[in-house]
Amino acid sequence: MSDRGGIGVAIVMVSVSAVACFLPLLAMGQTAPDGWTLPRTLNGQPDLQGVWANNVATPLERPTELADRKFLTDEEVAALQTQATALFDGNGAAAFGDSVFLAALAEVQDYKSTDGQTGNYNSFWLVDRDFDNRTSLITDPPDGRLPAVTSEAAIKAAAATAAGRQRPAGPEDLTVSLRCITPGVPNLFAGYNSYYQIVQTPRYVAIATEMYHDVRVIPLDGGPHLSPALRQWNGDSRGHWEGDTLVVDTTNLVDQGGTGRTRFRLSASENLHLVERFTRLGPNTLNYEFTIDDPTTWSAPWTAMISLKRSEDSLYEFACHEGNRSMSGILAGNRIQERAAADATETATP
Amino acid sequence: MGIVVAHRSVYASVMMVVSMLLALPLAANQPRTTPADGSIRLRTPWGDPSFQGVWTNATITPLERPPALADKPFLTEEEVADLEHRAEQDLFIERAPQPGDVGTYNRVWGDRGTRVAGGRTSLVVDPPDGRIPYTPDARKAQELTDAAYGMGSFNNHLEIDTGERCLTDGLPFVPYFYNNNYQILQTPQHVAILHEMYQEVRIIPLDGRPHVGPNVGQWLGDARGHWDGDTLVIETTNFDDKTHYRWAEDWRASRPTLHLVERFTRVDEETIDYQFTVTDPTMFTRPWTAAAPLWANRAAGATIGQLYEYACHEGNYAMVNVLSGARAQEKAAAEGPSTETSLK
Repeated sequence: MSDRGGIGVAIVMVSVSAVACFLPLLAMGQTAPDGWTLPRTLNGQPDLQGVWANNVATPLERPTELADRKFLTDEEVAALQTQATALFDGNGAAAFGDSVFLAALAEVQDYKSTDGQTGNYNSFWLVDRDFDNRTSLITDPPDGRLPAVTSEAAIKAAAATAAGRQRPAGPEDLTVSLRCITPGVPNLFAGYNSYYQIVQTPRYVAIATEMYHDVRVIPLDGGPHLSPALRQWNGDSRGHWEGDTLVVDTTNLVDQGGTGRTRFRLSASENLHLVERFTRLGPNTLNYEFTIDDPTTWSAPWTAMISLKRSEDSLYEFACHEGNRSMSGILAGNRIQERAAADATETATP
Repeated sequence: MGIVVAHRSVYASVMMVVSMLLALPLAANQPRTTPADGSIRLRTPWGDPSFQGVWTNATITPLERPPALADKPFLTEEEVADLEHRAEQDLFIERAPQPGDVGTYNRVWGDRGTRVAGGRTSLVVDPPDGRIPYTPDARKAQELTDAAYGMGSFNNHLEIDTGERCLTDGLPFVPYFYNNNYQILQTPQHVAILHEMYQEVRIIPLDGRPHVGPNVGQWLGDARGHWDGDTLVIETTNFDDKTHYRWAEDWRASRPTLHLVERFTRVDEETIDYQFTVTDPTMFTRPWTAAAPLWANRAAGATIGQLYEYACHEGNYAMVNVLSGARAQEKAAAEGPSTETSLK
């Protein structure tokens, strides 16, 4: 039995493993389709506008069994896709983040999410994931794995793991994503509300995400970052153009805390320096690459890449918070279990 | 004793404005000079009127005209100057909580600005009496909502309004106690409006596409924009039925019968004339219109600068405190008589 119960846990796991879905597409050597020219806005910027989807199945880190395989063959990709299609046909338990790829890779026959007992979304609620030849979103380090963590971060992670085994006393003990606050930046969550709408002016780029109905409005005017005293969930982002690539530099993030329940399996620290690069590679492809430099947490910077696909769909409201019955379900369930445990102790000690 | 929900001091703020208006020496009923003549044309590179920038609708003018000013739609310039001067002075006055009040924000957190909108005594410009033309039932319902504010019941979070819950206060844009800031981006195909309050964003297509199907309802509806000369007209339908929630202002509740038309006109360097018309035969005897200008925020006596994250939900300890306070009061009430008995 779960000591946390239910969907909430599932979402927590999801966001952790979503983390796991990072990126390197450059390695694929994508080239612009024949006859396609980069569309431009009236003032000549590359036009990145539209709705873009991140439904890739590729996991953040390369699975150890694929350690020497940067790319899969087309036949392997087709086999994985077939496997996943059969496994996640809409009736069984949903898999989030890396789990879709890993379940297909392991040829799992009956996917059980989370603890396998308390239930979860069924896969009907998730978008079918896109398989491609890549075996990790991480492009650097070249092994497709996160760099070693610092000793400071390792201690923090151990504490977070221990804390994660405690019963959540209140919402603050659960992740910001489970709390419907923000997906954070960068958002790696694929397959569920993973749609982005970009609106662009000469001086700003606005990126709305369907997940959490969140939005970033990023100035391109070359202004400095906010004072380091000012911290935001999504930090302070400043953009500029390098050739035809939009580069967004983000600092001023809040400390993710020691809970270890947020992005990248590990909490990034407030020293995280994020650089995102958006490059339009074709009518239906937006290359999204980002580099994480957080010397407090990782021994080296690392880079990942996601190929965003154009969507003709619209973004809709998420309505996360007001539908978040799992929060009260989780907390109430834990209180009941606490009481049951206390009762059992009392009975055992007359 | 009712519990004051600390999150929303807007009523206090409105009452302050109303009392200031009432205290005005009523000079001649002459309209303030007409705002700028609209001859300034600030346009985007592709020729549309430009609304891009950061704006505020902070104003001390109340939405509805106070009854005591029923015959006075406009203030004189002197009255406006006097009122705005007093609003500026008022920013620096700290007031102790009323007796029985558990306390609330102090004034430094408010950002209602110091300006009178268009020299008017109400944001409502039509009907001419400056009042929302509620049906009798709807008026009564809003009065009950107002009376219940801070008084409960507080059985659970669903009995607290959507704003207190950090969801939304609904559309259209009307000034509030704070966070009256809006950032507008524009492209030939879209207008994006970010509201600092609740970090609410609307990305509104201008390409003539139809509304989404009637089965899709949203808190903020489904908005479509088009140009009517130099005025941007945004029509919003497809409001979801959220009337089972509590709302601070019933008229802004998301509901399928609500039909909203907003009109943005760039008047001058510092001003967008923002008007909205609300139609809902289930609630009003007729459509009505209000004008709540969007000002470059340096012009409004409000906080100047970019928008920041709101962080409403995660900071909403008032919610926990309100509910646990209510539980404590219940417990005290239940235990009260028995304690007295045992003391005897």
